[in-house]
Amino acid sequence: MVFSSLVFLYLFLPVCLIIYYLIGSKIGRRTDRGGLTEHSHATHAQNLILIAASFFFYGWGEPVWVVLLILSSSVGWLVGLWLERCKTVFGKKFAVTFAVLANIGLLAIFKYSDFIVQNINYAFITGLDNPGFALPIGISFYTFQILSYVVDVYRGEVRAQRKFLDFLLYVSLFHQLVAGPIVRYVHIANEINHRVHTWSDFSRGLHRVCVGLFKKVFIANVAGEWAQRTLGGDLSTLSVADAWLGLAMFTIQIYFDFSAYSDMAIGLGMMFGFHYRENFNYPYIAKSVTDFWRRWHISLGTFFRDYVYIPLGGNQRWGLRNLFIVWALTGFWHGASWNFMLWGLYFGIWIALERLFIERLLQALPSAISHFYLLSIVTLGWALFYFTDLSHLTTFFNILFGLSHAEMTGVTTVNDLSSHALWLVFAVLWCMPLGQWLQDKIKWLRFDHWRPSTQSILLLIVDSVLLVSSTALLVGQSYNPFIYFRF
Amino acid sequence: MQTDPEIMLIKHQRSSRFHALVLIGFVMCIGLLFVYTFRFNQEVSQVENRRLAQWPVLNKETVLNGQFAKDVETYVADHFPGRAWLTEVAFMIRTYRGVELKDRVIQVKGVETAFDDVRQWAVAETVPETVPETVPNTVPDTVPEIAPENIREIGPVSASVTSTESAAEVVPELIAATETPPESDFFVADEIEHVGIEIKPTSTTVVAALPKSVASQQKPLNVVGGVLLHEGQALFMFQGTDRGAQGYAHAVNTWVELVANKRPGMTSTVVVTPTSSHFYLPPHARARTTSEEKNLTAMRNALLPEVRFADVIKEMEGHQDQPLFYKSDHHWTGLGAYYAYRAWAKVAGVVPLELSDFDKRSVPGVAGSFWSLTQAPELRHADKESFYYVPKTVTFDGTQYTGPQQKTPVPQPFFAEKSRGYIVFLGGDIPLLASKTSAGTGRTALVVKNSYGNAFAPYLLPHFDRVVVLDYRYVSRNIQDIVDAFGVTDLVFVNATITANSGAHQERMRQVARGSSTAWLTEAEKRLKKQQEDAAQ
Repeated sequence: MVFSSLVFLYLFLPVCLIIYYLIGSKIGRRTDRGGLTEHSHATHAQNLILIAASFFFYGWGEPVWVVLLILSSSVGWLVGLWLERCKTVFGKKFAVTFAVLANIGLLAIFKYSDFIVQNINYAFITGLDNPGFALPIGISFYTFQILSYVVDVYRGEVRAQRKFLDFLLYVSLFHQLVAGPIVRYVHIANEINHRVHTWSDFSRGLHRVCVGLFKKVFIANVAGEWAQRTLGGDLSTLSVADAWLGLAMFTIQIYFDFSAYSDMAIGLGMMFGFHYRENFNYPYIAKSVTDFWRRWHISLGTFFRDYVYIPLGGNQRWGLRNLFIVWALTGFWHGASWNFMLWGLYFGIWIALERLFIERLLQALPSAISHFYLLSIVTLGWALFYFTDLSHLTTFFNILFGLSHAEMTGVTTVNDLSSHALWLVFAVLWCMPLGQWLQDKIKWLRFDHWRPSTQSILLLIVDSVLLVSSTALLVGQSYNPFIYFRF
Repeated sequence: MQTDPEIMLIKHQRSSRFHALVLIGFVMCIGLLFVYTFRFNQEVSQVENRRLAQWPVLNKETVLNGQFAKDVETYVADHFPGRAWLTEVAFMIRTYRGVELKDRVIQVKGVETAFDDVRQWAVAETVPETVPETVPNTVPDTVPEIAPENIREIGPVSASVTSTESAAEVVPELIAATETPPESDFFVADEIEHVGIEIKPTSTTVVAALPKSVASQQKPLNVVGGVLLHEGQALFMFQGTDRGAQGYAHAVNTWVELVANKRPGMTSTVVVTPTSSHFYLPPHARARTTSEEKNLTAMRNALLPEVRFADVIKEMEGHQDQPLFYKSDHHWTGLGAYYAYRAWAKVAGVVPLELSDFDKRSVPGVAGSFWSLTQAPELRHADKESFYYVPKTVTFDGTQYTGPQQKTPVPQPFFAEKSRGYIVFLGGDIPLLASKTSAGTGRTALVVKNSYGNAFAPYLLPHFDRVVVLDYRYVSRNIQDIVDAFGVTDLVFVNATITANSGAHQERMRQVARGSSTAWLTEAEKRLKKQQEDAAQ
């Protein structure tokens, strides 16, 4: 199931909320009232309801993979307990190695086995058959969550979870299960049994869901259709202008698609009393590649920083080596294809160059130039990300830089631009923290200075418009994939 | 005593509760409304003029493979409370996201992507086909090059849309009026599906017999490059090519060789209408289309010498101020078909009747296929009436042939006078329909057509003792048997440029001529087949 579907929004979510708050709050042991009051704590029954709802959510399209999810969680949970009981360093290392291998093994089998076999066949001229395993949705996210838990227990940063169901809740929470953000156990460990439900959180969460939904349906889907029409078509008929526009559209699509999902995940978490960390912070306003990656998919960046880069020695020992290992892994995490590896290394190179000298140069240059530099690099990087076929990528770059016989403009270029003109302005403005900037500049616009009743009415109007227009666009809409589902 | 911060906190909490309760209450109400209206859900959308998704079959396989979930999503979207209003809201959002509001081209989903690559539908589930040795390969290995002057710049052949089910959501399945019985509730969607709007060939029985060498040379053909909304009328952006036109001529030639040439004295005439775009497309938009007139010329030139080709354009010219085509639908009107009839009469060597020899009647109009495709508000009530012309000079009856062999006669009037829109003609796309008349000419016409022939066939009634109408998409009875059983003396091929240029239509025509393969499934048959498959599981 996806968040931006009518089934989720109008059937699954209301039913889930009713059962969770009206029924779950009245069953089982509780430390306080479990319903949605000003301050109420979750009950165990509510946790069970959330697990069941998450399984239903996950199994809606691919029920068979629920088994894998439980299996993977079981391994993580058992290793956590094992680590706490282990007295020797060797035993702990053995346990953590086992967990890492088990989880990476799962990823290798389901995500990378075809790629590995294809490359073996290519390198050694063998004729091995592709295993052809289907990729379970969200496997890259939940295996990383389990890994982070095991390593944190190993490091002693968090105590092992004694109850399997509580651990299963952490892994399977439907808000973040299929497309992140990668939630660290340590961040929500307390909220599993001691989270507080408040109307304030619920309201803010709901607003966040409406905003995310609109971003997905109104911006990402439109950009996605446009990008698919140009980049995914016959490149031999593509004009230079359409190539640039298509790439720009993919740049817009991937940001709004993924950040919209994160918005909805965070919002849904708040509606159920969980507080996930932000995953995006206006990445396209960054002024350097290093800055961009501090703002883009923050949960993945911090995962690799904390569990790979720093353990390898960080920038203290073999800094460059560590950097490239991390970026190769980052690329590879996104997909089993060489283009993703290239994409990762591409950013690794730019970050290395920035460390060496570009960053100092950028600081001396006007902001506009820094922005242009960053946007150029990131946009071109998305071409590496989009084209899994390297020959298509070469053809595309030839068109992009006028090295082919492509026309400068296509017959649809002007029409595409004019028929999306207002949308385009809207999308570009939404890449910037314009609302915050305006509130900072104009005092009377400061939302938190308004009377609470005015705030809530205004919020209600905005959210209603976002919800109704998103619903209208979803009714009968065809292009509605979440890009990050495949990772 | 509460302090100011505490009071503010309480106020804030109350405001949050108000916001959350109203908003989530709204969502819950919509959900409840959907559940409540579940049992009242209709099979057909009168507004959108299409069949709505039905509640999917729930079994182990559909659950495990995810099909059930996908079908439920489609079902919910189709039956969502206030869908009609929401689709208008969506259209307004799409319209006002740009600045070009006049003469806008609607990028109909799938239009630019896939006139189904010949190779794509050529590998459909195939019924073993035995091509008679005497039958020449009707698609020559060396298809003549397209005349440069007939090619204008064509928009980028773009992406293959990622999901076939998503296209199915958008592509309308235009439905016959609900008054018609289920057996005759035929759809004209197949026409559109195979000219570039549908991505997925819905017919699993379409079988192509193109040699691999030819198929591999074929480029995907985009017959339609979008829909232009111009002055309250929808117009196809035609992008057919000489090759497409010649393909239709070759399909007709196959019929002539296999049917007409085996029966001395049998005549063959071809009536192909241009779309409304030929007459009404504004000059600035023509640069993005190919010429339908030149397309028809290429078609005429590729026909066998004994085939007579009616010049429909010439006959229609000068009458553009009259409603020759629907504004919200891709079909011609009864009047448009009348001028085509006059063109046919000229080459067939008969004197056409004047309009005054027909009784002009009307049924209410519908929002047609273009409305379904574009959701453009101006199209919704663009065709208020549908006029049809009943011959006064002859009496006639109507019989359709049903059953597995399509040999069981069932009364079926030539005009479905209780229906709406285009369906008034013949009552929809009936596989095999015949009418006995009082003309007394001693001749029998066989109209080989898709839905464009529905409005045309009634004009033949005054000139033939019997008019047999065959929809090549759905007929399954052997053609030689039909010709012999009815004593056909004249073949009349009726089509339109958009469908005639479609490889799928051409291939289906060849299959019918050869007596090979099975018909495309009607929607009713598709449902039946699915039910049977489900029952078997």
